Amino acid sequence: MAGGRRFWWGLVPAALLMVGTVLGPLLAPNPIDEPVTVPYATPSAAAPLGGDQLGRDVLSRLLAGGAELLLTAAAVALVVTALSALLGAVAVLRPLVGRLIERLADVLILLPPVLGILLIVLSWPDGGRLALCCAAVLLALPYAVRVVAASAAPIASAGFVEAAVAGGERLGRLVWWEVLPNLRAVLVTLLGLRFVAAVYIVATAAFLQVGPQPPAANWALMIRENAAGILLNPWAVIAPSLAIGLLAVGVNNTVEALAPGRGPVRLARL
Amino acid sequence: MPRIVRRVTRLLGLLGRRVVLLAVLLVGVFASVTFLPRDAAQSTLDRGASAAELAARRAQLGLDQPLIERFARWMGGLLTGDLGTAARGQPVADVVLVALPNTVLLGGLALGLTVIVAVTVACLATLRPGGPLDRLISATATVTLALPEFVVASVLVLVFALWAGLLPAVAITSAGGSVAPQALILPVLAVAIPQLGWNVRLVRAALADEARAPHVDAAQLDGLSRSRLLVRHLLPGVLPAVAAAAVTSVGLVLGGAIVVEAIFNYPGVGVVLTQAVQDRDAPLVAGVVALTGALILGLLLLADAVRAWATWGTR
Amino acid sequence: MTGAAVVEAAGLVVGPGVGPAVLEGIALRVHHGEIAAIIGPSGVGKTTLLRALIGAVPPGMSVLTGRLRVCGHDVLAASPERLRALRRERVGFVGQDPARRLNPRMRVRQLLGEMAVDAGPDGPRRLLSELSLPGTDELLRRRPGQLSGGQQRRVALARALARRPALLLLDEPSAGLDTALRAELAELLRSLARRHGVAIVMACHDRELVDRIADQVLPLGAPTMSRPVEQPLPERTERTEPGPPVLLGHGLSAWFGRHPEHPVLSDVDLRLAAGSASAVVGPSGAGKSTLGRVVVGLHASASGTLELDGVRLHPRAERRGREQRRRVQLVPQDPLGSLNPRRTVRASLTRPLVLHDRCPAEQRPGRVIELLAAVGLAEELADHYPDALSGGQRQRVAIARALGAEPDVLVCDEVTSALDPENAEAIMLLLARLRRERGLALIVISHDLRLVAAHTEQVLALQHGRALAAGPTTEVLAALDDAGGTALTDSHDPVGRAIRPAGLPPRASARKDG
Repeated sequence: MAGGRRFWWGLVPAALLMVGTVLGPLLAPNPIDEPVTVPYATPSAAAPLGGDQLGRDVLSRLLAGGAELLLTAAAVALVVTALSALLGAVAVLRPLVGRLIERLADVLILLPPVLGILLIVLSWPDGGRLALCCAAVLLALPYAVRVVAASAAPIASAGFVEAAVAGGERLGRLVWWEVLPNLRAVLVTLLGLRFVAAVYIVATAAFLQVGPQPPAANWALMIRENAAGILLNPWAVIAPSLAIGLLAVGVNNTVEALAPGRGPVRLARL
Repeated sequence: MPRIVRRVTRLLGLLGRRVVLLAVLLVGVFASVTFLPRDAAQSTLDRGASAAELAARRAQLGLDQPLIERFARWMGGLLTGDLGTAARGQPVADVVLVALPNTVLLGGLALGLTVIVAVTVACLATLRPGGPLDRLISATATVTLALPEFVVASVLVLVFALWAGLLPAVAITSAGGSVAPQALILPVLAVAIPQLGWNVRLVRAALADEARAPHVDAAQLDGLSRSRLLVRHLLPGVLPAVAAAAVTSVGLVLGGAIVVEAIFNYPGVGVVLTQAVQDRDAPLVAGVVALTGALILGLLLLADAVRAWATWGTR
Repeated sequence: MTGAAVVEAAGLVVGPGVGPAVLEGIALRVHHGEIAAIIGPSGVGKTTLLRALIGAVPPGMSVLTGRLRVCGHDVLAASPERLRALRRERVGFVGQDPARRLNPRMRVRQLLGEMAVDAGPDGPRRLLSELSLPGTDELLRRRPGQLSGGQQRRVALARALARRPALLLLDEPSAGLDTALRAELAELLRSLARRHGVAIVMACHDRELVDRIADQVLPLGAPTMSRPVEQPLPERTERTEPGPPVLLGHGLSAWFGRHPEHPVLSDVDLRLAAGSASAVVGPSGAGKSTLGRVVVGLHASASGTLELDGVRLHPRAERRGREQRRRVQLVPQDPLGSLNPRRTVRASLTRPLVLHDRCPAEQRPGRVIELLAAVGLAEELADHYPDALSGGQRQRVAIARALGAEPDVLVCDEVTSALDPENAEAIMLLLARLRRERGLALIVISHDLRLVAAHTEQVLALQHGRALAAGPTTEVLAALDDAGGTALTDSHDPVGRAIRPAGLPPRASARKDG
């Protein structure tokens, strides 16, 4: 496997972390909603990582706080990859669609992703997690489609596709049977990169209190809430920061190692 | 001279196209703001407000006019600087224009830092291709991209402000609303670091591409010193790529700035937006988007001009 | 010439390290004021030798053994700084294609000033005048993109001369220059050598120049690539009686995107009878593939009329009727192209049967076996993926797939160019047999004139998108052969001969006159 050591360095912590976050809520020693100690208490036997702003157990909240982030990010990444695969394949077979997507991507350059998320979620009636997911997908699509289209272009102009078009194949079959199967490697890499980007955007949105609301246990929210007491119990901020960092970096390294030697892929970080 | 006329026409065409894109964005923004059943009037009044109060509030916010008229007024207002009314009643323009310059300062410094460091590191790596710096870059470059800015900011605050006590953790504003320089350092770093790895990789790749150009080979065979080769023969060729990289980073930098401001209590647009989130004040966000869109448009045009200047007379 | 040699090379062996060496046993002594010419066919290593003289062999190669001293320095053992100093001060190198070797962003003044020994504003001007260029401010302000080809060449030479070198290395200095400029160049080089004592080593194709000014000549041997052996002409396929025209094209034009003013194809007529084989030939870029794609409906930006059995065909395949699409099929070129790498042979062959409803579902497996047999392939190959097949087998499967739709017209786009001669021959014989058995009309797009001569009856020769000649194969090819001139076929075509009918306008030049 290309990238050998780097792959394992990335995958093992990331995999452990992912398993840990999903199973976390089951492993939490203390209840996550009730205070078990003094606010911003230093680590003790009752609370190994100390207490947060309301005295709740940091460790328990840490274990419970990643699941939602992870699952939301995974969902967004899957949807973006699937949709961009279809749209990208269509875009190379129907140049008009391709041009439209290009224009959309150009419009989106003028919109910082964070602002875009804010705008859509706030405009959405009672916007919560669903609004956040839709916003993240919408804003990520044009760039992702561009990437897929760029990889699909040589396939679309390959002889067998042209023979199929000339022979009378319909668009749907062309996309599903001729183009997409040859994009497997690109799509896997895209999924990985989209996951990293989704972790970023979901965490950032949570930090801005868009989507999950307190008192939910969420790493990004924890960082925000406990920032005031950072001097008293730094662990309340450090632990979730490390968790997000390790997850993001771990997945990123895994993806990087799977696709070595490629130049910087033109993906915006969303 | 017809050549100049052709170039100017081309640039004007590019400008026109970009402005159209901004207009499309603004239409999208307006659409998202308008089509909500629960509008700003409802969200800023207490629950249980009477129908009369709601209606009065709506009239005050101009929400009872026909759609086209609202759009026309809004677009017209944009051009004259009126960005509508926030949920709490103040003009959006007033609220945002006070805060935006600070954010632009933060973002601009971060962008400048990113570009300078990226170019410098990439140049140093190019001087020793395959050497330790080069390997470090390819191994770690995209790592920083994965880190959200608020994570970087928290770590920076912990290390520099709390343990080492070197830099302030919170931005102290003077009476005039401006910020002390030391208070800028950590926020700028927090925004710049995640962009660094990506941009270093990009500039390094651009330099590697340029190094394969025939005129660089010729300059090497002419026995020019490495620094002269780098500065006179390599860098000018990567300027367009650097400008493009900088422009792609602008959106991300602005987003990062907005996030980081919450941690450092920096008086910028981020704080304004936090309030907007709680009020569900979409018009305010729309105003911010319109302004930042125009700002990014200006930067894009600048990058286009840089590219045009760099390739003037080369074809 | 007396005095120490400027270049002393002995027993130089340059090569990639594995495999045969490119240069072997090179010995060269050039004194001050001498002009040495390196001659030999292209690809033999002239540029490699020139570059080796300043310690800059191309990547992938190295000097394996030998001695080399230039201007008193041992080039092979010199440190990078020493080499840089040598190149900067004593040796000037002018490579091929000087247009791309000048920094496009620097002005002429800076290009010359960067290397000049005599600083001062007049230096560049003097250099320009030495090369018969006007030393005007206007010229000094220009960038290379604003100079003509001849001017670029001379500025490159001036840049090399700016450092007042002891040794000048030139790679094809006279390429692209007209007679007058060539004479000037010869004079300049001679005066540099005689009057200023510059040693000159040049790699040159131009025998005239070499004869005129060279003091010594170093011939490099022919490359070890074997000449293509002239294959005996294969048996001609039998002529079949031309039937009624099944495909008629009139005034076919095509362009790219939204630029009809730059057509790839202009006003081409096509006439295809049932059971016949017509070839379309021409050099790369002549529009052969585009014509094929227009016929099949893959090139939307096209005009003119195309009729299948008297019924108009829409330029776009999507807008054509199902039957029309079935009757015109395309066999693409092989590399990566002809078959979907993710589908088995069986799946690829079944698809046209399903799409065009050629037979009920139960009969499909049987049909697949029949198709494979028709192209001479064993049944076992059906469940393999394309990467398990050889190139020849893949092309046969591609033909079988096209046959599955039972077409009347088959467009074969360079189907043999990726194959060795044996396989290519076999494919052509297969196509001939299919023509006989099924009355297929073939359009064979190829740059291999030999195969075309042996297997087709009509030929359409294209050049720059226009029909150069059309008619029976033997006559057209003979007529093109009689007229002399620049190449109609690609230079890598083993049998390509320079043919260009008299009376055609000269190739339009994009360069400004220099």
